[in-house]
Amino acid sequence: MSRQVKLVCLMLLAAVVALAPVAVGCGSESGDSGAASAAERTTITVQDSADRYVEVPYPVERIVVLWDNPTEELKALGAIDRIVGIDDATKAEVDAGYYPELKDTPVVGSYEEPNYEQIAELEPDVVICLSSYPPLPADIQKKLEPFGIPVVGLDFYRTEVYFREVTTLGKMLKLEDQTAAYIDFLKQPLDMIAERVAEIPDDERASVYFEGADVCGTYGGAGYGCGIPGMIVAAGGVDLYPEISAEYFEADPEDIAQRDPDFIFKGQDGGYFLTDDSQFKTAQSEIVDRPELAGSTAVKKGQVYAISFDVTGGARKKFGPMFLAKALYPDVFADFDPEAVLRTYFEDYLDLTWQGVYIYPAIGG
Amino acid sequence: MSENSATAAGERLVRAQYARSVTRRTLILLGGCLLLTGLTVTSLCIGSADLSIADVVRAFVTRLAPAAGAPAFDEAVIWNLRLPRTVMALVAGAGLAVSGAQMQGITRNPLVSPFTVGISSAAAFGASVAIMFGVSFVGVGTLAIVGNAFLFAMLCAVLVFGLARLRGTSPETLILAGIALAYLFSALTSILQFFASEEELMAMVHWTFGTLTDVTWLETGIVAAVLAVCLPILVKYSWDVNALALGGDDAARSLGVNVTRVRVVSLLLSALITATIISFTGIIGFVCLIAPHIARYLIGGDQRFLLPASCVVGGIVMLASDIVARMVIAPIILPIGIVTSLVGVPLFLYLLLTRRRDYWSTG
Repeated sequence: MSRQVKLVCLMLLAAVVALAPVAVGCGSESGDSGAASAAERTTITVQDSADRYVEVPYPVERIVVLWDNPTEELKALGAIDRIVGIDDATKAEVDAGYYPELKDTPVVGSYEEPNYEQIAELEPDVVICLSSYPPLPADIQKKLEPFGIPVVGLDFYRTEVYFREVTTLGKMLKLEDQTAAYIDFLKQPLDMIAERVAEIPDDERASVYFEGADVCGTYGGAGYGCGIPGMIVAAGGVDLYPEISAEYFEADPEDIAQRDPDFIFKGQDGGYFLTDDSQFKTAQSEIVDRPELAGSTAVKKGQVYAISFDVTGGARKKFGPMFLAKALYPDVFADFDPEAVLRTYFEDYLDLTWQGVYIYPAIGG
Repeated sequence: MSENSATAAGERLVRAQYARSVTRRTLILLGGCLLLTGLTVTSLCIGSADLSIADVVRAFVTRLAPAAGAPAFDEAVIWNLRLPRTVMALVAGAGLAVSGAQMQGITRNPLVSPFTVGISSAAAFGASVAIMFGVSFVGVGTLAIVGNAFLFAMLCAVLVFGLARLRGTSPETLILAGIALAYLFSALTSILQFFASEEELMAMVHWTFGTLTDVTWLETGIVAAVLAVCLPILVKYSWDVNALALGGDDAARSLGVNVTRVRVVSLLLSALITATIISFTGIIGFVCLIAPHIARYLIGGDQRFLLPASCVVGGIVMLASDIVARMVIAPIILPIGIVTSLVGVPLFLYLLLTRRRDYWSTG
């Protein structure tokens, strides 16, 4: 028994020795003086999408992005050269050919597991992350606090706060004029759509069934629904499931047929790199061929479309209402060409060659 | 006369054998501690920031004695990023392994771990409830998530005990009750995930991966404190668990062991340690299952040695997995829960296929 007692005592001693650094670490965690040599720079306070007020240098010259949406916005604002660290999602886009300027920019982990050491080494002025996916801006800030690096949460995919986020970004960059012009370019068609759509009587609004990647997978209109129901409403349509709050769910095919949608849209991955419309055509015919939908208004009137997530997902949600409105009400929007807007966005703002297939059948210009 | 001397000689032989085996085991333990120390130093020296061993040592010392003069950046990297992670890996690994060893001992079943009896499923459910019904931005409710995960994990342990008590707390009823509750909580979590928004769903899933990246010193301190309090109690029951393992419930009772009390206290303490750890780190699988087996393979089934050995092996497995998670596709860090499972499965299968017949007995 005495040997056992000795063993226990040894273990307790080891535990105390091990806990000593914990005590030291705990004691110095709060109120750290900050390791970064904070040079005297002007700063401003911005509000991010996690409702935090963050002080950042003005302007920010070195940015680390932890998601690919901010990268696209920075490119559009002509500030992509300020990015000094990217995440793996952005790296995938760089490899796909979207941002050649970032070919040699170091990868600092993923949005789920940021590599704090690498970020600290790059000495950025600000880290831009997602506002509500873990780790949250507040948690990332805790880890980067000793290095004096502020963290700002901006999503650029939630349409209701999108323009506020772009304004905030523009302010941090000290590119207020460019930002205002960029916002105007996007808002002008969206405001025009909102105006014209307001005049469509309620009983003439088209009901829309938007299917995602899965068969019968659709978005609940009472919740955020990945932004799709909001897009449908902004385009003057009526979501087929306005009472469901589940984000994304599998609907009963009989129920879909019974609700008789006026329009059906099938979301498709791929868009920019497509050279012909065969993939979209196949997707569209698959829906048209479904026996339970044969009698629906959408199929009978030829109002079934395959539409790319490149214009309805992520940072491109801003284009969704444009394409949907044109498809739903071609007469009301006879003079509007959503692809022309997208083309200007690609060519003037993202420096990309215009290409790709975004909707089938074509909705005309 | 000759009979006595023969008996005395026999006795001396047995004592000598026993002393040798104890020495052997102590040496193995010490060897394990040395390996652990080596891994700790490695863990502190590995990372994206370019720090040499000398830089690491200086940065470590500077916090305690500022005269050492390491740059503030180095100090922050060591004390705020690498050390909390390393220490948490050590205490979490030790805690999970010890819980597993104790639960396997009291149920005499090598496949049992705190996770088998539903604690991880219950914690995941608790975290999901907090994520879904807490405040709108998950971060503000981080305390709610940790608290909820812990609460439901302990609730599950109490339920398992309560259900099993109706049938006499035999190992079989404990395990069956635990499995049933594991499935129940899993299903409830799936229901929540079905109705969750994108962000909530991501948060729920992210929590189940298990990660050491965002641990703070406070969290590490709490885990260490819980372990420091519970471990001596578990060690005190070592002989009782040995008796249980050797002869079963009846033999143990005849030796004066209060079988029910040993089982209940072991279950609750194991659940407490596990729940504390996984409410901070998320679900890190396999350590509580595989580490006791490795320890048993090296040092035998005597609970007096098995518990400390499990601590050491658990620490080694966790720390090694963390180092791999940080290095394999650097600078991207894999969630540690994935690495421990990927590393644990082949190890577990190897042990399963090569185990000796007397593997599961003491001695």
